[in-house]
Amino acid sequence: MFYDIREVESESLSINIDNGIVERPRAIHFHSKCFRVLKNGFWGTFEGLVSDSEGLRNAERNVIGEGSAEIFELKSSGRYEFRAKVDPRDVSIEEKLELLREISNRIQANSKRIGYIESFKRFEYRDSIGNEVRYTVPRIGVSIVAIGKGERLQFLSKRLMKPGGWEKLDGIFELVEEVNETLPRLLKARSPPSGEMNVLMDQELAGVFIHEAFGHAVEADHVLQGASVLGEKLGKRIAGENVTIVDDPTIEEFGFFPFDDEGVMAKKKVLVENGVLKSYLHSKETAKKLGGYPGNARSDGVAFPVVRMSNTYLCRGDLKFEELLELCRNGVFLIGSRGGETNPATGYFQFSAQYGYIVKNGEISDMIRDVSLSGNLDILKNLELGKEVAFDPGFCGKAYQTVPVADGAPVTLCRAKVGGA
Amino acid sequence: MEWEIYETDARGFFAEVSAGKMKFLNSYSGKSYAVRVIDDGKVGFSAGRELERAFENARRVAMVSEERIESFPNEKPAKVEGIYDRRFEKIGPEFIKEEYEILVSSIERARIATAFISHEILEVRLRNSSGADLSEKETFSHFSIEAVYEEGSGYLQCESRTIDLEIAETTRYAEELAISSSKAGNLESGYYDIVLTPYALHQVFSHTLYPSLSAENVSKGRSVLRKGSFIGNIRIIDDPTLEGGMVSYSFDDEGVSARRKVLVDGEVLRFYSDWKHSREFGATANGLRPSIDSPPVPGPSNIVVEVEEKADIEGALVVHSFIGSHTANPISGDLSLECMNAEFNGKAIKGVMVYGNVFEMLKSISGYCSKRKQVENTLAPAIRFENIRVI
Repeated sequence: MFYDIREVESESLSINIDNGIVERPRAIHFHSKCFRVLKNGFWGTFEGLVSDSEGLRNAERNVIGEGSAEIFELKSSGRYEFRAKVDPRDVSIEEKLELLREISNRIQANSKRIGYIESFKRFEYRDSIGNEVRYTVPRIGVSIVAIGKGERLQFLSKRLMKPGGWEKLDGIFELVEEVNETLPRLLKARSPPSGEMNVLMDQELAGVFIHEAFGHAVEADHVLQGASVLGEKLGKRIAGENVTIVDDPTIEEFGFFPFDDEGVMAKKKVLVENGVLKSYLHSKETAKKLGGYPGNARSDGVAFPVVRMSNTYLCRGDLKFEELLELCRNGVFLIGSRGGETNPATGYFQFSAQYGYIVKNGEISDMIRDVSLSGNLDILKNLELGKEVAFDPGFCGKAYQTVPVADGAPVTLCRAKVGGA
Repeated sequence: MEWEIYETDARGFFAEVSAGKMKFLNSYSGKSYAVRVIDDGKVGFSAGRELERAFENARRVAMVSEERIESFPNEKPAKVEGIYDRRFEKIGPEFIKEEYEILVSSIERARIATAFISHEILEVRLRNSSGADLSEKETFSHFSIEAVYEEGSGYLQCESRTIDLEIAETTRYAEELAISSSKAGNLESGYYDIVLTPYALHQVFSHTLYPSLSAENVSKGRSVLRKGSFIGNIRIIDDPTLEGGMVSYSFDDEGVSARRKVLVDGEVLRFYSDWKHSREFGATANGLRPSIDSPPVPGPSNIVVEVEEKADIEGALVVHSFIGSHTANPISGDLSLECMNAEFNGKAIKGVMVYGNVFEMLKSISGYCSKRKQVENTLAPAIRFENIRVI
């Protein structure tokens, strides 16, 4: 019988300044434990703040049958402490409010909400093999939602979220400037065109594209469920030769973790190399069944760990922005993301940009609003890539759990279906 | 100092079925506390497992708060039936095993990619310095399934306040969707009448229409709706007193007594509100906590959707579910969504997007096409909309 025990203690402070007023400040402290027992190929688990012996007994009681689960056994022990340059707990709440007020005052909008969050996660893991892991990671972030009123209401959102301390908020005023510059023009933007066309995506949107269109389909649990279009595709060409895609939890972006929630030390994984599918993302269970290295099992709190992405990115190409624009010639240039979703079983995905521009004869022209893209994985076969990769933070939902991730990409040209008037 | 303690004691089971086999069975139990204080007129919030610590934290953050409430409510709770099934007390792991057996025996040709079964008992106690001491015991069951067949997939879910979940029926329907979508064809772009089934309607409304009916969003300039705005030939009722409703309660998460409100009857009549906004918008008992670590915000309870005219599905694109409904614009109501399961004249369709604006769509309702069904907090029939852009 295998067992493991996870203990998570989290502390967070969040503050909103909503239309200039400090609202719903909250301080949260949670402490949880989860016990997993693997017996006869079946997982019994129990969540509750009880002693180890009682927790394991309760978990074993939930082993109600025989299954086919086995795990990749490996030695992985260690300790890690993410040392922020400036611990947010050492910054007075007044100083935090001062920064947020300044952001709020600078944003020019009819309605605005500035959100601040700092969180600290203390994680402990131990299992029946003798592995022991401990780490602490702080995260910090500011989000901006600005709403403008013209003939219609329109909103724009930006966020800066990283692992680390107060120092990671450097750069927030660049986002403020971007909002102030864009929102008034967005109010006059026209409806997007529709149909299949050339689509140039900025780094943020291209990152979401890689996450949605590709990333979920290489999560090995989907492959084992027969619900991924990339099942049986290992070693095969699935994208153009210029396409290399990596998942790397060790980069200090929002999806950072030193060990996954099965206690496996984080490791960079090349998923696609020069267009060829090299690896899936694995938990201990999927790695045992399909071959591969675990390390991508992640939990929301102490829920059952699920195969997830971390910081996933499309590697850079060699084209300048002007060259991409010229290649696009006629189509749209889409900017920012409002999230997306995919069905890995069919490979179809949908995601939305915050705004964009018509591209006419290789030049940027009219602004457009509320643009969605859809397509399937074939899109990966014809991408043209820019020179600089940038990451964007977000939260990814799967199996009723949400975890922090970051998506990265260079400016990317593809051909996709645009949903418009 | 005024104070409020919201306490939950939750216990239940959660099982995941993966690739046709039960992967794990989880049980859980635990108490949590959420505390609000009004200190010097300012509101602070905290949550956690320890009551004293939560109090301390709430007072600490109240010092920087500019949010003001004078006091907490103290009202007699409404009488609501069908939200607690005592049979839950006797559920054990064996019950989940029986449900799993029903699930696997209900599918013949397709495969189960994933399925989730959960049953929960939730006991809530709410006390405050105005003298309220309220409690409620509730039960929730949930089932969802993704069935796959060749290159097709079908997703469905069902919920109940009793232990009885429609596992067999839901599974068979998901299988049908998976099989039909494996043979899905294309649809030429153009303008079509579309029928949104209760699930697709819930996906669209919960990300566009419902946020626009929030008193807070109206008050803060984040809604295009005003009292008297014409919506369309539709009635929208917020009813937390509905017997057996998934979001029924005798008091909301702030202790305000539950009541039924008509929000829209052709035009907007009122907005749903939490306690803080009730001074401006009237008390509606819609102060809800999205989770234990969130302070109450205005949230819809059960939304009953009524349409008078009857319509059929003939010649319409029938959408069972969308991908990415959360990307719709919650303020302007603009949407551009990929259909996950859809059919046209009885044939499955893939790779189509529906483009439009929910407020314009609501003005083009031609009628309802089925009986009402509850999907999460939406109780609605399938509804036919005229002349919608499909790409």
